[in-house]
Amino acid sequence: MTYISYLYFFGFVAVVYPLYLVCPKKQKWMVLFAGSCLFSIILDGFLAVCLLVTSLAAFFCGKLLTKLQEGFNTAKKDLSKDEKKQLKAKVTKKKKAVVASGTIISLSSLVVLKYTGFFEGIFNSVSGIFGGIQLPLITFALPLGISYYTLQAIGYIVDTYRGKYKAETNFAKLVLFISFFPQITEGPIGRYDKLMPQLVEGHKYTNENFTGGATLIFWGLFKKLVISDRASYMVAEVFDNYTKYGGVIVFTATILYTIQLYTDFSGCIDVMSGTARMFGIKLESNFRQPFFSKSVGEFWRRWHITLGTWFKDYVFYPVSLSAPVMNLSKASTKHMSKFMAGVVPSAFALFVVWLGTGLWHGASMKYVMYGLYYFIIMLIGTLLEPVFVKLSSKLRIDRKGKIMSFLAVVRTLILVNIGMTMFRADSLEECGAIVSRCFVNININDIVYGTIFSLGTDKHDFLAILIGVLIMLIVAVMKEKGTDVLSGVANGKIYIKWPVMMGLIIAVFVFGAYGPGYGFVENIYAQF
Amino acid sequence: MSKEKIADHEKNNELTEKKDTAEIKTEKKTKNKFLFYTARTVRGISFFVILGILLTVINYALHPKNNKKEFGMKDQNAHAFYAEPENTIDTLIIGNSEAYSSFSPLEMWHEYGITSYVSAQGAIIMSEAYYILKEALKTQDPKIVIFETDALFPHKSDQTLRDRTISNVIENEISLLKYHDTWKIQKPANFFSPIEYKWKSYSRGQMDDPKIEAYGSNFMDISEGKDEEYKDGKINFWILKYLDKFVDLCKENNISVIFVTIPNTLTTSRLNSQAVKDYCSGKSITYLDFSEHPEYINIDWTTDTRDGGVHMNTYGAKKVSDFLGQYITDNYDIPDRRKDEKLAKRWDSDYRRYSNRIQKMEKEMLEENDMP
Repeated sequence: MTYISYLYFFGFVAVVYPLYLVCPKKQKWMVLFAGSCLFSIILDGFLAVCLLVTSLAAFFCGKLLTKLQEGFNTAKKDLSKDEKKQLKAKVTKKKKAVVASGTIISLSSLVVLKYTGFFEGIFNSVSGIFGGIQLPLITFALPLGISYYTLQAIGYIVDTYRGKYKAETNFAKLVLFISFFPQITEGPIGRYDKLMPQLVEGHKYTNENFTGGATLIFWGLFKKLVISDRASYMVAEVFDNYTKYGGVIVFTATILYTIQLYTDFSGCIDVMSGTARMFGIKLESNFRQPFFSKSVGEFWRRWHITLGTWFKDYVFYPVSLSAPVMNLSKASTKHMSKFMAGVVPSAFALFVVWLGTGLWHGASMKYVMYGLYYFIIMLIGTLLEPVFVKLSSKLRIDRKGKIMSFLAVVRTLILVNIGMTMFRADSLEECGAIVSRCFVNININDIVYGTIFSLGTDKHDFLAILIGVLIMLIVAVMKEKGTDVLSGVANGKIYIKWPVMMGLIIAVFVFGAYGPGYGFVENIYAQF
Repeated sequence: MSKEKIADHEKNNELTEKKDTAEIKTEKKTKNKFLFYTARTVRGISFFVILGILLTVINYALHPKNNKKEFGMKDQNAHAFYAEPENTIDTLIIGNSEAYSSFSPLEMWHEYGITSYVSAQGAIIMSEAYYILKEALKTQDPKIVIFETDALFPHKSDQTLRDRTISNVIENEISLLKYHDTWKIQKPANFFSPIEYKWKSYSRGQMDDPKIEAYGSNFMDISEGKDEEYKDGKINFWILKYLDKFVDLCKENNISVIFVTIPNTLTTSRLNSQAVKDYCSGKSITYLDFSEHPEYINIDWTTDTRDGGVHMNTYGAKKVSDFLGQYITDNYDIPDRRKDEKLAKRWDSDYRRYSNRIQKMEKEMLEENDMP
């Protein structure tokens, strides 16, 4: 069952939602628990098994960590300073062992299922050089959502290790947190301390939640069905046969893919957040107008936010504070300039983060390079920053002025578009070929004679995409200026709320790419 | 009255007043709450009523105004029965591409005076077949429904079949979901024109292709096709559910059902045939399995297929139709419609068109073959 399907809305939400509303407050979470278990089983029986293993690991590790911490807190009261120190070291060692095993168990199914083939490929390449053995390549069908809930479970284990909160004592509640159905296949990656209280609170029906949730659902459907899916047809044709087409078409396809990916991912997240909102639950934001970013770094703070913050909290900080990086930091301070001494250790930690981000997206060199592409751009940006500062002061350029800010946005858009092309292309070589193809055979007749409209996305589709993107742009600009149009509509006066909501619903029904004649377009981020 | 008593009395009065005020407040609150919820319910209902009216108007505007592809009709060949005069089709044939390739209504007309229509679409699933039948019954009153059984074993996963069935059912029940994209092809001027399904398939839904692409070298017995999957005799849950509905709908309308299996080089399977046989015997349905009894139709795979044994061409369809025409005449009480002059004029003219077209194509093929 995918989120964008009749089965999800009419067969699943339409059953779970009324049940949730009629259930007594204290038992409401059980409806969500049962719904989430059922959803995972319908999605993929194997996913349910993997989920159970990860949940068990997280539950027992969390409990053990809290027990160790509480044992220490009780014992330390009667101890001297030195004894306290000794006991703390002992407990920390045990806690580290628990957190490591919990993380390894949680990661194991993800690593085995997602990366076996990738590591075998690397082994075979190295072995091939020395004339060694070649392993048969094994690939597994990846259960949907595994890359999301694994991170969520690890976050929970690490946070209990850090003493951020006490471990959950009810196994079913922890399973609900890890498998909550609106976020199981595409995120957003939730945090226990923010999500769990909402999941167990038991919300009553409120007009605000219902209208706000429904508006968000239709807004997400609008993005996915009216814009993303219509763009996907031409994107598939051109990316699969790029050598057949000239610059105008290939360039348009790369832009369309960026639009497709954003509207597909953010649209699906909106649908999910809208569903959760109907239940009175607010999921984490995953996007904040990413295409207004002035730098690639800012882009990643606005795009797939929950993945970025997860890597920051659970990879960047631990790596930065690890012994080797601390030693590196000391050595850099001793032997390098103040600027470089600051850059080198954080660059090392960032390298690990971006390598991880790349690999998280997929088990192939393409995704590794995708992560490192952004790392290199950011590193170059950081290293050249002093030069830019000097240059702009000499040339008396106001880097924060409107023109420079606009140019910075355009520069980021270009870099991100190349990144997205890398993401969509089958390999790094293909990405290079597609980017260079944008500058070959540029023929305006491709538009004049309509070739561009004959590749799966016709002129009506283009019109729908254009109008859709314009509407999105207006909403984004207003949000950037502090006005949340969607909330405004959901909570606004009837003469604004009704026409806008009806318009949105009609637009989805009439202009959505669904039904006979339209192939189902799988959510891109559900495949990771 | 003593001062104390007066004070007490005043106090009591005060308390009663306070009590009254509280009661009034509660009453007001209850009244307000009632009004609040009533207003909210009325508002909610009004929203959906207005939305419903708008969607109904849009539904009409976007509905195809003719049963042709150019007007947005999906699978126009399967839906050209709309243009036939009411209650003139006695035999309805439903199935997938095997059905529209293997039956020739015009041959059955010419030889036996049977009026039939092939309402088939490629890769059909059972719920689609059910809705086609339901739709056809609105204007026709067939006595026999022939169902080609290849559609019971679509080459699709259980999950795909579940999703496709659900989509298909919802889209057939709410036609806006099926025809919403006609905004791309309909002229705004036609949005509110009357709906008139006038387009007729002269071949009555058959794909009349005389092209020959031989398979093998003679009258071969194809009892097992080449495909490896979907031949285990298992009928998917959703297919079975709508097959039951399909059969029940026929029974409700006193329609005799005949299941037919046409052999082909890919999907023919003994296990699948056995599953159909078991189903038919449980429901007392006539089953003609030409893959088990090729002698009934004598298909010559060197001449009777248009694509190397996957589908019949017009010659194969003629053989199948000859057999069925005779079978129906012998076993069912179906009138010879050739006696109806008005109807005969219509069908005879289409038969002439059909045979002229085949002759023309044969000539072209011969010329092509004669070319050096």
